[in-house]
Amino acid sequence: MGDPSAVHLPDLVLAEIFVRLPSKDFHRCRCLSRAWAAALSSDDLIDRHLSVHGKIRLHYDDVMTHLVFECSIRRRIVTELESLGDGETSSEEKESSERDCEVPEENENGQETPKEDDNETDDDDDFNFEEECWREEYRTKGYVEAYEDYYTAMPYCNALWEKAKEEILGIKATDSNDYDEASAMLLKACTVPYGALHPRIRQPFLEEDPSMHPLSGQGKSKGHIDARSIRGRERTEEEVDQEIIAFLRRLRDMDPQAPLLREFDTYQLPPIPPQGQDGVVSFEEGVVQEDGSDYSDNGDVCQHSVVDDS
Amino acid sequence: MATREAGKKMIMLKSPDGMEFEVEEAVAMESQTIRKMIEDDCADTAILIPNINSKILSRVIEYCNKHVPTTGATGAAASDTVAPAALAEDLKIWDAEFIKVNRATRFDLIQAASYLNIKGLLDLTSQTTIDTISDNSLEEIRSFLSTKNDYLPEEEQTIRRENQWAFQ
Repeated sequence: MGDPSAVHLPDLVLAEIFVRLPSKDFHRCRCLSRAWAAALSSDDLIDRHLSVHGKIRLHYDDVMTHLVFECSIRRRIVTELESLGDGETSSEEKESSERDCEVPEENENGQETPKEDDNETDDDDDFNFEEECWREEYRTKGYVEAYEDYYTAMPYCNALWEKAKEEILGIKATDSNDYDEASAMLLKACTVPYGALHPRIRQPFLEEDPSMHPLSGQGKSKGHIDARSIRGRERTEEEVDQEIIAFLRRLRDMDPQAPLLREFDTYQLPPIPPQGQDGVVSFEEGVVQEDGSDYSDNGDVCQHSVVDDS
Repeated sequence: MATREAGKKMIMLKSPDGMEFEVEEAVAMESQTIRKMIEDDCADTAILIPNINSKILSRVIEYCNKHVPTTGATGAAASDTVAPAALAEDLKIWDAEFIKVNRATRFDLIQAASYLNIKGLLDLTSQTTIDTISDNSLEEIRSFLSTKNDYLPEEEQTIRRENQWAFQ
């Protein structure tokens, strides 16, 4: 740049330049001045910036749904399909194994081989890795970016989604194809308070006990529910529930205002009473325990909870 | 294709300093802004292009002429003989030559491309500026864009921390 004089460009033109910046510089330029920080944080510019790079922005609900979906339901379905291994489900199985970029040729019968086992552990790493990445990205950028074809290029996702809806929510594919509604229901199903988690909800978060795993040659261990491990550690059922709730709460903490999650705080009673009344424990940590003193005068956070210790 | 010569529709573009440019419809359609006008049947008389002087407008038209889709511009016979790869290579060289202009002209071109919504030209002309921004520190970008740093020191600390990852 030979010309030492500064540039005076209309903001519109500068915006055209800024949206073409690489992601890093786009965010770095937020530190230029207040005006640019506001402009570069606006939805309009962010969306244009992403569309120039062939990306789209995933909004919070989508991130949430994806995490719940990818990290729990998909794991379960993949495992289930692998253990089933009949011709009927081979297409879905193929799709899910294609997604994992492994064993692309193995579309018939899904034999239970050590290779499949490897595949599964890789899956786990993927889940954890992706979860971490997305959370980090959401924290730093305020949104998660994905490729434009995120929603269209994933037929496997749809197949699994249909299956998940059917299994977890009991909705048949024909009942409703409304994605938002279904994900809201799924979330609602996932946020049942502590002690009332339905086994169907809890199941996807659990890994098979390695020693009882069908792939290791022992008998089918469907009924084994006493102690499970999450991420390699041994847990009691109670701890498992806490883990799941912590996971859901972490998701919520990414954006407390997300419309899908508003219910999470207010949702206090399980739809079906669990076996033992004393099993119902409120899962809010900051809960105010005194009865009838909802409007306590200390100006602290006062979350209303239904705790019946009668 | 047979009636192309006879039925070629011409569009009249007018710059604010009174110059008129007659261009083929296909060339004018390179600009999304003009394309919309044509599609909405607002292009019967000359289209006035505000804010873009004749010098810049002629360069923009030069660019559009070159970048109009090759099948339309050269006809079926010509595109058979020229390999697409070679054509793209030619275009690249031509582009590189095209933006060898001084800074003021380049920014005028960005402005014009932004108004006329010509994506290719916008990408081409803003690339140099993008490289400048990418290569320089915040302080240098500020002086380059003549932006004032209106943050209080502690505010700047905060926003830098928020966007820490972008500085690594």
